[in-house]
Amino acid sequence: MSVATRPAPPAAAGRRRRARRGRASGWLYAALVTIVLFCLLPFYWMIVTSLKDPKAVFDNSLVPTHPTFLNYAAVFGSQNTFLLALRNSLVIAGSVTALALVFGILAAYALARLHFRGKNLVLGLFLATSMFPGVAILTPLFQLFADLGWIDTYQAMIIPDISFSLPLGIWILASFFRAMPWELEEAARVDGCTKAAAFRLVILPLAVPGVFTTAILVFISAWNEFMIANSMSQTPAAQPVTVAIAQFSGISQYDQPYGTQMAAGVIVTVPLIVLVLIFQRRIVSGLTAGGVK
Amino acid sequence: MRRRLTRLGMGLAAVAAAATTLTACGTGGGTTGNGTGPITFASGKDLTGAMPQLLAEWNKLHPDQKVTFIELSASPDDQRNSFVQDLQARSGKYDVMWDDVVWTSEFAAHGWLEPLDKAQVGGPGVLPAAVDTATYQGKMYGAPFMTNSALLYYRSDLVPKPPTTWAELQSDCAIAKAHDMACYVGQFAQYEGLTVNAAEAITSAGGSFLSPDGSKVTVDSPQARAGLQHLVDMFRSGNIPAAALTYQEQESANAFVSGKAMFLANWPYVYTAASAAGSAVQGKFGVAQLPGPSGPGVASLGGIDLGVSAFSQHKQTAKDFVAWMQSESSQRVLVKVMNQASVLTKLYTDPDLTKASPYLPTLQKAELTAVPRPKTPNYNAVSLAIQKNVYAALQGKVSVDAAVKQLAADLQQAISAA
Amino acid sequence: MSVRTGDSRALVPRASTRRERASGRKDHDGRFAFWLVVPAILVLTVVIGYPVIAALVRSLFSDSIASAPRFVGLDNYFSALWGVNSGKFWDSVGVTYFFAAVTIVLETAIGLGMALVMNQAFRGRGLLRGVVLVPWAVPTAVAAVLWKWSFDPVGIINALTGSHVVWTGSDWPSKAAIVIADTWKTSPFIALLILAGLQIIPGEVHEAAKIDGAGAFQRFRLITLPLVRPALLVAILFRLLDALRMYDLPAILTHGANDTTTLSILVVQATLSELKPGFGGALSTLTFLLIFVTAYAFVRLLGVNAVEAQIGGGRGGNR
Repeated sequence: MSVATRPAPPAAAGRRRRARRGRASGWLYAALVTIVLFCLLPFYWMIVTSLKDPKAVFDNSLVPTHPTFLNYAAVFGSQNTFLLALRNSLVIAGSVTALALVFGILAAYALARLHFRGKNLVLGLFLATSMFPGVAILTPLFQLFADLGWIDTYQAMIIPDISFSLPLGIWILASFFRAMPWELEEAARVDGCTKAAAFRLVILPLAVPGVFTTAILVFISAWNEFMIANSMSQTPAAQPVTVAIAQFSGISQYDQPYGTQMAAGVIVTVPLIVLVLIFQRRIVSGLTAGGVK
Repeated sequence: MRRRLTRLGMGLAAVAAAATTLTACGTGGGTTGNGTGPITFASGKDLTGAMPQLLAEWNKLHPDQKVTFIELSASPDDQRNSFVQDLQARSGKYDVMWDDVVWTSEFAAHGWLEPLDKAQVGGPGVLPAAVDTATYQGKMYGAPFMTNSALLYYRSDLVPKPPTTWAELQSDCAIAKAHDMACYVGQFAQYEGLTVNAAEAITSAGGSFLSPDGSKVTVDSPQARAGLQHLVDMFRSGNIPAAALTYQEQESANAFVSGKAMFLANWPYVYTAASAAGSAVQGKFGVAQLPGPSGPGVASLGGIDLGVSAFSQHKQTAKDFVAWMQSESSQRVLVKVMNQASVLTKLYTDPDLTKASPYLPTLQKAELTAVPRPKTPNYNAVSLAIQKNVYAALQGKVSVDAAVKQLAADLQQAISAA
Repeated sequence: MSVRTGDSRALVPRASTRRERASGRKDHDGRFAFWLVVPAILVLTVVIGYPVIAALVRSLFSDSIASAPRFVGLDNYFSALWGVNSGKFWDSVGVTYFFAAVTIVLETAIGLGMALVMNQAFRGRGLLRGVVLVPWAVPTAVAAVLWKWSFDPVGIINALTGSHVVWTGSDWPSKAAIVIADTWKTSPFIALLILAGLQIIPGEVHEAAKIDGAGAFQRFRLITLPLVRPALLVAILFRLLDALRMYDLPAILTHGANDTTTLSILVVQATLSELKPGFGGALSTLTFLLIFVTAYAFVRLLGVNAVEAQIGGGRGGNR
């Protein structure tokens, strides 16, 4: 068996899809509208709020009557650390995603494809690391990193974030690798590939949807991580956006700058969504590849 | 790979170290310096931008003992977490800490704060109640820096004379009803602000939570019941709206500033927002002392004490610095630029300052009778117990009597944990 | 370094499974597997293993402020389980499991629905995937603040529904608010995981069933559900772990008032607010044990297993 024999040539698949679309349209579009409303209404309210004058927080009109960018100006204004925070978040979440994927793919491959005793124990251990309340980890970790002089450094946030995403990543990837058509790998090896090369050339491309899904989940959770970052970063030089947003202040220490926080929330959410939309093609191509069996 | 293994080794070594340092915890002190030299000062977020200027003043006068400003979050909980983490790690990163008045006893009891000279930072010119907040077991562990106590904001256009007693307050509520607005709002969500508001009602009625030294529970008294009963009655009659069960400072201030409530109990900071353009009550409100059962009530004292870390390398400089922050010239900046209340008595009647902050004389009256919240190393456990039981009573889930009894039991458990 | 050899012996078994012994690949596989797994294990050891052991050790000592902590054995555990703190502890256990059960059922139903729709072919499917990710992508703290103000007595929810509910001022409305906020935030997580699982179901299977005359619901029950089951169960399993550690939403919406004090809130109160690391460590360990038992039961009862799963015909079909 070789890669070239995959069924479902694109044209045929397209025809089938069009046929399916015609029949299903009724309930499909109803469901679509429901989902879009469910996901976007609260986000829409976030945008509306972010466009309101800070003094009119409880103006409940559904469209901004006097839209203003005061809140957005406030996000980037005053101390100007938000851009720095965006960069920090990008570095941290990017490194976490890259490293977690490498570690995760290696471990998941071993768990899904190789045979060794204690495999279930290892899987269980990975799972168990997601069972401790976060705050219980925070205090000892802070002391360890303080001893190492790591407070206010990227690695003090990257390493914990990796460990938070690894268990989920390994489990998803392992279950994906299990479902792969591994006979392709065997075929490649018969053709003279090493095991590593077979994995890289044949299996990894097929695993794209799973890897991509994992990457999205890992990136977003690292991007949104707050508890560890709030302790480990103490100056704007290392603070990610979540901490920067929490540091926004109103006119007094008792006032939460609601509009500014919403504006910042919009600013950090939209790029993520755009990123996902750009990489969208990867999922789709992965999808057709996944239709192999 | 070797480096990762080394890291693992360090991790394992650290486990062992953690086990051994356990025994050293809580004894305080250590081999830290008493000398002079550069220090750091950590405060909550500086909303006015005045702090760096003030510190530049000090740095000009003391070129060899410069102070570096570390600005923490605006949230007191976050500030405390930063301090506690650092103090537990004994790093001495923060030489001078901005401590909320309710943390002083706790930090002092853990051996995290350096005792200060009372003659230097607790003299006769300083508000006695503020000195009290910084005192733990007879010694001062902080230099009172700024103070805070609640005022009664009232609609002067609707109520010609502010109520001084609870009975007057309740009869004034008819006016609010006629104008279709809430009568009285304060901070009644289950959080620290509820402790402040409950303490005001209970101490106004002559009750207390703990004995002054924090060693005995005193809440199970007719006075405490009367104080709590007042709040419960106000909720039951609708004079305090049910929505106030979700109010913190911001929500309650919004209700008043937007003209939806006639009375507001809150810190002095609301004065600025209520007087500003865009406020529905601009020029239509006044401030008074909180009412009590028979005459003005007792306010809870808030504010900041400056503490010197027990792990500081330059304690002498740190001590000189906190005394300087309490000096008249620094305190004038505090009132004028930072818009906060001073701990120096004489600044409350200074014409230059009262012109900008007309509430100062009223605030001084409130502060002369104000009472600190319970002083105990277990303050957080005590406060959580107060919040939980008072909240249940305000919701009508339990009777006042049952709430007070349960509170007494919970407080006993909280303070016996020492 | 001695750690290396010690670890490798633990992980590389002398005798592997019977099948592997027959194939004669065992040594190579075992050593290879060790080097693949070890980076992940090392990171987890430093970040999770070390703090957990430190917390565990600390939980055996007292929390006295003035004197050095004394060794008290399991006293901190007893105090939570049936001592002076047992009321608080068991209340939190109830609250935590309530939230976990309700949110997981809702999120699974909604997430499955979303995934099924996203797996259909239609114009703009890519856009829909972006849309569905929005709630999950909004930073948790920002989302919690958004919901806090939406549920304010004068907030948008009361304004839209014309009601005057004081959402965060009494028990059931508070719980409803937290469940709604959590469901909105996390359903996409489940949807995404299920979608990834759906994508490896070959379209031909559906087509064949359709030709055989199977209706849409039948196809869902007999084909889609069994095939997507492994992905679904992994998604639920990880939601379970997170839901049982729920902290942010109740902390911001209610501060744990109105019977919403979850176990994590209790741990934070003990460890950070009250500075009782011993008692807090015991609470963490108990939380861990509860979650462990729950997850174990879940895995045993439903047969969740990332490596033995029967995805897409599973191991038998592939061999």
